[in-house]
Amino acid sequence: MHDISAFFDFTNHPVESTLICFMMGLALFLIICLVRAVKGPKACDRLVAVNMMGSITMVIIACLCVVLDEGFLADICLIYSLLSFLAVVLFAKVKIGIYRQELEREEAVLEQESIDILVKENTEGKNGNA
Amino acid sequence: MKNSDRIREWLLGDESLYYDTMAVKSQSINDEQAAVEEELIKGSLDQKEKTFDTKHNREIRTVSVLYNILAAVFVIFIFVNLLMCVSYLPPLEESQKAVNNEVSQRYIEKGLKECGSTNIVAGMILDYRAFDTFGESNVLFIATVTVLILMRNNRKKEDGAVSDPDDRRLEPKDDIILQKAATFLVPVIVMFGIYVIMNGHLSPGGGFSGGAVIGAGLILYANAFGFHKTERFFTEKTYKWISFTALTFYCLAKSYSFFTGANHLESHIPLGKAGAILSAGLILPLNICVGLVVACTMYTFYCMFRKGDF
Amino acid sequence: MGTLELIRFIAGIILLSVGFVTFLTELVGVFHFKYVLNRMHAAGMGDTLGVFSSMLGLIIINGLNMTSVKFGLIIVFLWFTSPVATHMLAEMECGADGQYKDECRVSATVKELGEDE
Repeated sequence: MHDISAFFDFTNHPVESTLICFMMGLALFLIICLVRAVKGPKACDRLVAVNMMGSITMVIIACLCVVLDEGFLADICLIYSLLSFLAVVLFAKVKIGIYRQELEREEAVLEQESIDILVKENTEGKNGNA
Repeated sequence: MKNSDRIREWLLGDESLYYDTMAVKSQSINDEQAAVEEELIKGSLDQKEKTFDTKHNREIRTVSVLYNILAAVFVIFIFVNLLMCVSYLPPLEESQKAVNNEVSQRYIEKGLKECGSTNIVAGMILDYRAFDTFGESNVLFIATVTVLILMRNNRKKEDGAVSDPDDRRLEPKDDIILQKAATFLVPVIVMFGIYVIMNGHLSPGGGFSGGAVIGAGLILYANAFGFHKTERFFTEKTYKWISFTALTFYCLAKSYSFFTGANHLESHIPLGKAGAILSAGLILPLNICVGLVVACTMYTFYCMFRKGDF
Repeated sequence: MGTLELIRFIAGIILLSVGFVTFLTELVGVFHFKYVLNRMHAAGMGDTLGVFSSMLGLIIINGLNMTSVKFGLIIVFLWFTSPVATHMLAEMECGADGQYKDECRVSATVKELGEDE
């Protein structure tokens, strides 16, 4: 069968119909994952959900490849997994860098404030003495 | 201030103490004068607040409301226009008989015979419409060169300029796990990209997607091992020479085809047997050129936006 | 369908169901746990076991041809990249947020042990 028009034709095309049922279930999982991506209080939660969505999409594309009997969809599956992995790695690296930079900046500000306080105390002491 | 002091100040080019701040003098000030000057300063600041105050300004408020209304009207106008255009399109079944689809019918029927490639889309973009693809590759090149010009650091290198700017000093470097994984993965990815490029005329893929995959492999390498190691084989010069060579080859090859086609000569480029890898005339070399340009462009953009220069 | 095809079909469907159940468990786990590091446990399960059994089922249904070899390559690729992605996510969580000490019990950080980061 080379088209998806016969959805639940279990008698004539049992293989394709069962695979389409699986694809529908997995698509439902995909939408539910999106809820976690929106809800998650931290950025890490969202990245985990997006990674999961990528894996589920891979299985859906592979099922489609078997249903439609086309060879090039397997290439698309591989490219998809590559891109999802690359996105997660890059995002994590950049976020760590940004966080550490902010931390350094905060520490520098705190140090500056403590130095200012020390200088003030010294000058007041001198004025008091003088 | 005396006149001679003023003249001296004007000659020497010092900043005038009376410019933009009222009454800031460096000599000792009486208290009365200090009070008067404080009032004047406050008055000028109030004036500034009144001029730049947006909340109580009636004109600004009316203009912003008008802007919102006009924006909404504009959007609805475009929306209605586009929907009307869509309603004029022929319905789905009659598309076979409509006049404007003769061209596509001919391409589908004669595509395999005239191009020699089993992938009709590759035949379209690299054989029938090769000139448009040439323009696209040129646009990629121009965009990257423009970004290079805009983000150029004009510091001279003799200053002992820091090679790593401040942005990436604190990112995790030399992550062993990522490096070992990248040692295995990057060759696989690059090989897969080459496979997608070479099979452009047999199965879906071609220069653009294969180039994107190779670019992704280079980005992974740069991310795992640092920019310093990537600069050993990919510098600004490399990028320029690769793009230039690829585009020149594309131009010369296709000009030959245009010349022989326009003068009704016979171009001696063999079409080969459909389905073999060495078939379809010029499509395979052109795919390689386009793939190279796209891969270099992707890596260059990543480098530009992360590092600022090569 | 002949008996061989029927056996292949049944075996493939069983393996696909195993993958489906794995994805379902992963989904329930991601919603049930309270903290990101726990959720990553559940998410990693889907990446490895779920995709592996699903792809194996699809290979058996498809028979032995070029597409099945590509599926095998996809499994190998994913098993190499998914743990690395999880590692980077965990490093982002522990190295970038700093609040993990409230949620878990930390015995000694790497700095206190005296090694370099």
